[in-house]
Amino acid sequence: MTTAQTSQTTMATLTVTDAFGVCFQDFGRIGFERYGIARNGAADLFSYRAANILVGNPAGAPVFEAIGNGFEFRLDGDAVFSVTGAEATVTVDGCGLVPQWQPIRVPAGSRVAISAPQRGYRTYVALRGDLEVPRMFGSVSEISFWGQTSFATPGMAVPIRPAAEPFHPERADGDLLASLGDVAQNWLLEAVPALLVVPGPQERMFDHIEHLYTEQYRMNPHSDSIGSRFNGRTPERIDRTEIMSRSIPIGSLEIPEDGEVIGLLRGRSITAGYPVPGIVAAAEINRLAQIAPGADVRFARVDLGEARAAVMTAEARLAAFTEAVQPCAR
Amino acid sequence: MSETMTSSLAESTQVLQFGDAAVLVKFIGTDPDANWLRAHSVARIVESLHLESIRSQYPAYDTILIEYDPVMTAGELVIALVRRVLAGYGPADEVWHAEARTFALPVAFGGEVGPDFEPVASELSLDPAELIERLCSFDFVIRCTASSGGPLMGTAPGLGGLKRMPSPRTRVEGGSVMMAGDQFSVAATTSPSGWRVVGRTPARLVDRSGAGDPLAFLPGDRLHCYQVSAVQLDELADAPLREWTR
Repeated sequence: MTTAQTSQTTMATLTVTDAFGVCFQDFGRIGFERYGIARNGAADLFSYRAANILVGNPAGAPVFEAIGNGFEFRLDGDAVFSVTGAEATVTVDGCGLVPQWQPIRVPAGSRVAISAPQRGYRTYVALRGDLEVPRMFGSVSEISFWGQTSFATPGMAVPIRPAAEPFHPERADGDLLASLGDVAQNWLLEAVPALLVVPGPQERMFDHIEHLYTEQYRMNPHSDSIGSRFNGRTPERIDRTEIMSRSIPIGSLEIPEDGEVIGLLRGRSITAGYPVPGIVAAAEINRLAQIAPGADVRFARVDLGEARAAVMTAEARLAAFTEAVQPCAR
Repeated sequence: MSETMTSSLAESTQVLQFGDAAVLVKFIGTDPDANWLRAHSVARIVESLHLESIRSQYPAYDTILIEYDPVMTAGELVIALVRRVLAGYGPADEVWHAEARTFALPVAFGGEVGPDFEPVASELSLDPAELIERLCSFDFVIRCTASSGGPLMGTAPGLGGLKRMPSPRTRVEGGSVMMAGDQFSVAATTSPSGWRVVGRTPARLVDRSGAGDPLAFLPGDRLHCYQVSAVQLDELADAPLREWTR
């Protein structure tokens, strides 16, 4: 692939050629709950952050999130991109197979195709620079009640405002990045993961709470960005006391009826009245978001110490990516 | 603030770990209005600290969910922080509430825009004129905001205990004035709902432009309904909320 210094200052345009269920994402909207506005943003924040790190973008830059499907686009200028999250086949111009979890430079006119996930559910595609897409209340993510959808549809042309500084993907240690990518994917996309769950305040409102931690659950197709829904043998709610609506964290598990467990994602409603027997640990929400419909999951009851260790491990992995691409910015 | 008051607030407040990235503060005093005011006042204090480790604080009826960054801090530190805020809490922290505004809410009751108006009146054993009179002689205090941006309020005296729809409607128009249980609300945007629809307001509660504040009201503000005709509903379409003058 080429290195064209001059291209850093000219605006490139990405044209979406094939997309279904692909949307723009970032961290979502923080602090707007008081207006009834859901958080939203990338469901797997680990892969979202990694995608931006790998192309030297600032945290919070918009990326594409492809859910369960492939994504194809054409570039009319020189560009650098990365693909993280679910495992997929990534090709340039129909043949050149390129690795995930690495910055890739492509020349003007390139056609990039990312297959539907072979493992996992959500792929993230970051482009070096800033995607010029509509923002509302500081975020590009969906806010349908307020009239902003965030879907990338075929034919859409997305200008990429170039980054101020040059970036040289070829200077990165490819072997190191490959091994970091393997570690990340093996963690994120584990078959039948046992997601770490911290016990919740209403654990005692259920009988046979142990079922939550011994049974296996299968994700059902009614899942969306509000929550991933699973079927299996659940604990039984025995205490029917009404709970006054309150806000509950992202990652909360709800059991609305026997046989169904919902793991709440970032599109969750602001307030809810269901009891919460457990909460998926913050670092594990990334893994929750990578489970595809039809795939199985387990839950493992842990204490705050183990949850904290998981968060710190994820941060260390992201820090390793940051370090591995340092030479690209020099 | 006296020491007894301080210790009583601490005693009537629970601060619970809620997952590994949030803490729930629950006000369990006997007076629901006082619990609500404390939840919203304490949330304001936490917000005013501008701590990088605190992501958000959301007060509802009698709770605050405080979400924190588990990389930057730990639950026990956030709980200790809340305990300190509670210990220093005093009447001055509730002064903001005196600035609450009362807005006039034009409402067309019944008919096509309020299909549940008559069933609600008969469920409450009131004739239609009485129901309108009760709804239009009460200041509804906005407690918090529903998912779509609609204000959530307690209902007027004698209008509580209402059943929800046996099966939720898939589409309730934005501006619908709704009742359910002991609550009163306005649908800010068109959405599914199991609440009983008694009328519609043409007033603009939501600013969709993204330029200004998303909502025309804040928790603590009050809504005072007044009746308008179906014709006025069109004339007043999308009119900004204005303050109620007696």
